[in-house]
Parts: sequence; C-alpha cells; structure tokens
Amino acid sequence: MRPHLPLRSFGALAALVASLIGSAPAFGQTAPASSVTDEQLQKLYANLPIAKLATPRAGGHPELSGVWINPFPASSEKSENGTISFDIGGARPSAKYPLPTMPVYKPEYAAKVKAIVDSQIGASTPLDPQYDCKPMGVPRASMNAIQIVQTPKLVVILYESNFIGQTFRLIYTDGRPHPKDLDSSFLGDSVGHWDGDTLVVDVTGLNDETWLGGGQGHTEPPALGEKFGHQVVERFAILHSGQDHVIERYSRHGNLLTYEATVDDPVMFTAPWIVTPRHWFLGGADDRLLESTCESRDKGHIAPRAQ
Amino acid sequence: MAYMAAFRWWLAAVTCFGLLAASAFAHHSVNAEFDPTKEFTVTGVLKHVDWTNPHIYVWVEAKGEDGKPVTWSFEGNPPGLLHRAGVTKDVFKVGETVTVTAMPANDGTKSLGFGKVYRYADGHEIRLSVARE
Repeated sequence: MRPHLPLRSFGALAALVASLIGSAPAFGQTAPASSVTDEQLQKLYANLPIAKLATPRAGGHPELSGVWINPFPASSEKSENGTISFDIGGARPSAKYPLPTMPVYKPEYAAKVKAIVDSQIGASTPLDPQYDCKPMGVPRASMNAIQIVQTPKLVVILYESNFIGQTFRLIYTDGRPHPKDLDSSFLGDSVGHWDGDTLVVDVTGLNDETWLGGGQGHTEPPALGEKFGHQVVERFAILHSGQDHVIERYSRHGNLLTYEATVDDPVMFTAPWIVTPRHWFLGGADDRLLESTCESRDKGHIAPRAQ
Repeated sequence: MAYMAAFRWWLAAVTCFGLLAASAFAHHSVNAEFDPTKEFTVTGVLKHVDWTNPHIYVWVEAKGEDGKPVTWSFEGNPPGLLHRAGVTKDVFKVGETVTVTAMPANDGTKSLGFGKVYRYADGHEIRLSVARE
C-alpha cells in the first residue's frame, strides 16, 4: 500500500527499535543497514532536479528569501457528501537512510540524557520544553516551514513551528559583533557573513532551557525517489549547557536550501556535534507562513495508558 | 459505496493504531496522551475551535447524566498540518450539533478525548487520523 515504507511489519519495526535502544556506549546508535551513506545521501540531495534549477541572486549573493517547506506528507480527501478524511501520511523513520548524528556527551551528562530518553512515552515526555511552548532553540528550530527575508545587511528568519508559537531570528550581516551585554535567550544572538555563496551564522548567548533535538523529530524531503519525506529523530540530542556555540551554514542550490550546523558545547560534549544536514524545498507561490500560537495543554496529559 | 470504502479504511487505520501503540517510534505525541485502542462517542453542540499549536482543540457542550451541561474538549492534529492538507478551521462548524467519536485520555481525565470523527446532522463527517504504518 505504501511501497516507500521500509517497515512493512511490526516485527521489522520492533527489530529497528531494539537496535536503537541497545546498551552500546553511544546509546546503541548502531545503524541498521541503510542503503546509502551520509556522504551519498548529501550527493543525492545535491543532484535532485530542483537543486539543478537556476539559483536567483540578490546583491551578489544567492537569494535566500522565500518560504521554505520540508513538507509533512499529510493530505485529505473530500467525498461527495462533504465528508473530509484527513490522512496524516506515511512519514516514518526510514531504514533506507543513515541515522542522524548525535552529540557525544561526557559520561555524567550521557547518563542524564539516557534517563530522559528512557522516560519517554513514544517520543514524548513532559520534560520536553516544547510542551511548555518555549522557543525551540538552535538548531532545533530549524525544521518545519520557515520564511527567510534577506536584505543587504540583515537576514530575518521567521519560524512556523507545529509545536510552539511563531518565533523569529535577526541575523545581522553588516559586520557587527555580538553585543557585549548579551542576556542568554532561547534563540541566542546571531551574526552572519557570506562565505562565498553560503551564509554562515555564528550563534551565541543561548540559554540551557531548550533541547537540541529529540521529541518527534522533523521531516526531511525524500532523496531516494519516494513520494514522501522521512522522519529524522535526533533522539539523544537533548541537553546543552548554555555555554554552547553554534555555527550554521545556509546554502541554496536551485530551489533546495541546505542547513548545516555544528554545535560546540565544551561543558557537556567530548567533541563538537556536527548535525546531519537538513533540507527545505522552496514553497510554491501560494505558500505562506501560518499564524502559530501555542497553548500548553498537552503536557499534563502525557501519561502511561491506564490498564 | 464511498462511505463503506472509507469505513473499511477507518477499520484498517484503527488496527494500525493498535500496532503503533507499542512502538517507541509512535510519531506523534497523541499516543502518549490518548488510548487508540478505546473509543467513546459524545453528541453535543460545537461551541468553539482553538486553532492552536501544538494541537487544535474543539469544544463541545453536551448534556451530562444529571441533565446539566458538560463541556468536552477534543484534541486534534497541529493546525498547520491540517491547513496544508486542506482541512481548514471552518470545517468545524460552530453552533451545529455533532457526534464525536474519540479516544479517551491515558491519564483518565474526564471530558477530554482525541476527536477522531465529527459527524454532523446531515451525515457528513470530519475524520482525523493520528498515525499509521
């Protein structure tokens, strides 16, 4: 029925889950046999037809402005009597793809992260700050629909989360440094510069109240010819110290936007975390960001099922 | 016939819910809040729609066992997800009588459910789904 789905049976799913929750030192991140390597996957994205389209330019740089979508494969059908059937779609973690990278925590923090992951019901725990409707932080905010507004000295990124309220970031590209009187915040302070055709953003001043990833993850566009995207869950990318420093790289090729990030947390990590690249497709002419406000109603009801 | 086909699809979806319930990869938080193996129905007047993240809420006023009004809240999917799939806020018709088929809350909270099917007096329905393989 859904040939793009690799997990054809509950048994296969259980096997995959078992492979992920083993007790290996790096939390059992033993990849099931994916059909491509990380390097091959990035080449596949780079070779997609939409990545081969002309890249518009503005002010000597690629034009990043636009609505960027990494679509969740939800759809609906309407029948003659007006019945509407919503189908949330088939995005699942796909064993065809390599597992995303995870930060390697120092042992004392690794134990804390594992305890949080073990407490999840499905992919949810009330410990997850997204259930407080707090901004997602960096790099976790970089998923779902965004709109970029690029001007000569300032790039604005507007975020439409499907978990929290709408947020934005101001990325000055006029050469200014980070402010000296910086208060820590959910999305930190960002300054950017162009490295050739790539916008490089330096992020500091992040607070420790967000997660780096985890939860339900995000949808990546299909790279292997499937109809729908696949779900990427950075399950063990959770805690950070607030002393972390993030470098992001945004690059546009045709109508494909690639997001790369490196998170350096000298307090909690043994080495910088190089995030598996994420991708958006340019939205259509009618695509626009939707208002997203957030009410923290779910948190109190995340609970084991009553027997 | 279309209705029966849809009903069979629904049965299949319900079966899948059962399988997914045990999955550590249950995609959405819904399965962490609601029991996909059980359902109940409530008939009342649709009073209000909260088109909010992370999930929409639909408020329905029904008559309780003692005859007094009881306000039920029914969670749905995220608003952006619904909108981009073509399910807009106005399909939840305020002021109309609906029969809601819902999954009960895991934590036993009364007057709360995940609204799977909203059936209007003219027979048309709004069907939401959680996850399937």
